[in-house]
Amino acid sequence: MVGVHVYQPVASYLGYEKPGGFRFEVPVEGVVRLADVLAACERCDVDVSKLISGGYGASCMVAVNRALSTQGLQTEVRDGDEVSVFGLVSGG
Amino acid sequence: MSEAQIRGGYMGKLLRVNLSTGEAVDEPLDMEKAKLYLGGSAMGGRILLEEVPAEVGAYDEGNRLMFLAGPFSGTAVPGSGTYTVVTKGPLTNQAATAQANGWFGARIKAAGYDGIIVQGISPKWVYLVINEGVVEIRDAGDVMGMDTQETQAHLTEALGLPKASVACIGPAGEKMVRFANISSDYAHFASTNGIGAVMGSKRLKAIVAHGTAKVPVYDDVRFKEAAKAWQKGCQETIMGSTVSAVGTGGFLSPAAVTGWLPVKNYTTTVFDEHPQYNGDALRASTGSTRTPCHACPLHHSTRLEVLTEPYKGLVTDEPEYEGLAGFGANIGVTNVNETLKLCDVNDRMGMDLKECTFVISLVMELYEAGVLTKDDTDGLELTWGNTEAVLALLPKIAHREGFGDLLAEGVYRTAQKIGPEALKRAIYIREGIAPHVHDVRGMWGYLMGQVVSNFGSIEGFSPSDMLPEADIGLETPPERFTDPLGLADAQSKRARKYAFVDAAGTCFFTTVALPGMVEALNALTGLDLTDGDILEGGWRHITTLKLFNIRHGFKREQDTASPRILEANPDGPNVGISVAKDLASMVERYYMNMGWDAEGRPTQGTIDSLGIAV
Repeated sequence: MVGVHVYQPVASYLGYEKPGGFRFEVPVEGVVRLADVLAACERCDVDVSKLISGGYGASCMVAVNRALSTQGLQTEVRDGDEVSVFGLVSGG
Repeated sequence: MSEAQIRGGYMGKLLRVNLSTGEAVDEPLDMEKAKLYLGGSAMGGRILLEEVPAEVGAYDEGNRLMFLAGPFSGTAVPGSGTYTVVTKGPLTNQAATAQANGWFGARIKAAGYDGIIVQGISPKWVYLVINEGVVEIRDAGDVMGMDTQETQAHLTEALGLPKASVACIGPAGEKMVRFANISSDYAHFASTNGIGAVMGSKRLKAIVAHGTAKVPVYDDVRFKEAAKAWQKGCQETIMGSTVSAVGTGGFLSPAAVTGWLPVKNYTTTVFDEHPQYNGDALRASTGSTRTPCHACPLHHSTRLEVLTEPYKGLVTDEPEYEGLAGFGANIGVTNVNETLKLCDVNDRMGMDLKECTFVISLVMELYEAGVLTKDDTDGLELTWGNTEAVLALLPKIAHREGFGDLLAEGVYRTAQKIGPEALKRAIYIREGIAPHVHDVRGMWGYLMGQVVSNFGSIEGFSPSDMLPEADIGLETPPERFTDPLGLADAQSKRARKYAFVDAAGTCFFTTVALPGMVEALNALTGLDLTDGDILEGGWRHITTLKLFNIRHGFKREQDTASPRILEANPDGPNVGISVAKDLASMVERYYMNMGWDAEGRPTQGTIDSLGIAV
């Protein structure tokens, strides 16, 4: 399983308004791109595939096991990984 | 550089106030200088270089305290209420530039000016009123001792100018706390490097700005189109959309998860309470009302009402990320209502929260370690998370009472006075100033941007190590820990772009790609600048401040970080990682990219190519 936690405000972009965002798990085999995981996520309550259709979703930032990735949704993940999807990880 | 003449964007004059003599005179704005430096921190840096010689100290009569708008200030582009305060700051004894958003920058223009230059020292406490181009210096007796919020409310009411903006100091500025800040439009603070202490040294309590003058626009139709596109575009960036939806408080959970959140003075990176602090939860758990800045569609500034105990009924401005981190995790406070109360008191006292949180977290760590005892702290039990003790300590710092007088000198000087046990734990950079409220051990580019800063804060406040910015050639950000020179290269590009934002009079939250901003600037001013001209202008801006700092004692060895920052992360996702072996090479790479020598001195070729007359 890969655990994916989508934080606000990305969750709102997907139609989920509650504070804290939402988390779901997806079974994967081998090493796969996060975008492919989201595209195949048919059982999720929220249509997370919208993230891969460009625009705002394409800009969001991704951490795997709390380590930030520079690859965004193209980041590779594998079984056991815990993925965080943020709007912006920033100073300020 | 454009050969065209400036035909819009400026009111055409600066107000110069000499508080020693009580004179206030209008000076024509030098339009050739405006073409080179635009305004804001760049124009201020140029004036500092020309008017403040090395022997003038931060608190001397000869220091200048400038409140500068930019060409965009007061126009229809988003975030155009911004202004910049520029002076020689008392923490670094070098240049200080600090931006604040809100409305004050627009009000300076509406009152008829592009900026205000204050010099001299008043024989008694005064405030300045600039109303429709008429200037008065008034006795400040009735507002002395008032906090920042009371001062603003009192002056606008007493003057019958409800739509005026007030920039003022609180008790900390009056007592010249070395990290006092300047508050304007209630929720906004120009904070870095003790600019409020400089204002206090001049015995200037406040400036009230009001007027109805319009900023001249060169090509109205074209500018409206450009401003409209910018208004739309800034809502679609990852920065704009995030701060609009959840405020900068929305950076808190990402920081906690990725190990960037400062926790208990960098002794850990673990803060399990982050979900209640993150912007989305904070706004959901309080009553919130948006208080937008001038011409900004993001509406990220928000007024909160605390709905639960403790502090039920407190109405305060939503802290930015740094307040939530600084008066939460960094001092071990885990209840967000307590953090809101601490931020409110700090803001009312008028203190820069970066310096304030890191000096408090330092003495808390020393107290926990037994280096300090109640005998040292005026009886305060400075254990992690003791909100009541910090609530008692904040006014003592602001009024320089007892133990608070020691802390009022800032992190580095406090640590020097306590001794080696403090110096090895203190969080500071550049031998004298606290960094932004992050655990910068996990964000090397951001750290280096502060270490080399000539602004007193960060060299061109850029949003993130991790943000792609294709308009400046950063399609993919460098890897965080394996490409330190790539991070230095990226920061030298970002610095040029965000130095322009500082100069132009707009807000970095509303920043869009360069072509859109340059089109707006050209339509406003009648210039025909290119993206390249703008980036060169940012480079000129930074190099001018560097020349000022060299004249005022800058040495290469200052461009580093304190021992604690150079330590490896103790836990979390960045455990064991340290920037210690890479920081010097990053700094030197940055110097090289800026056309400076290995000691950080601009070469004559760089000075000549940028047209900086010294």
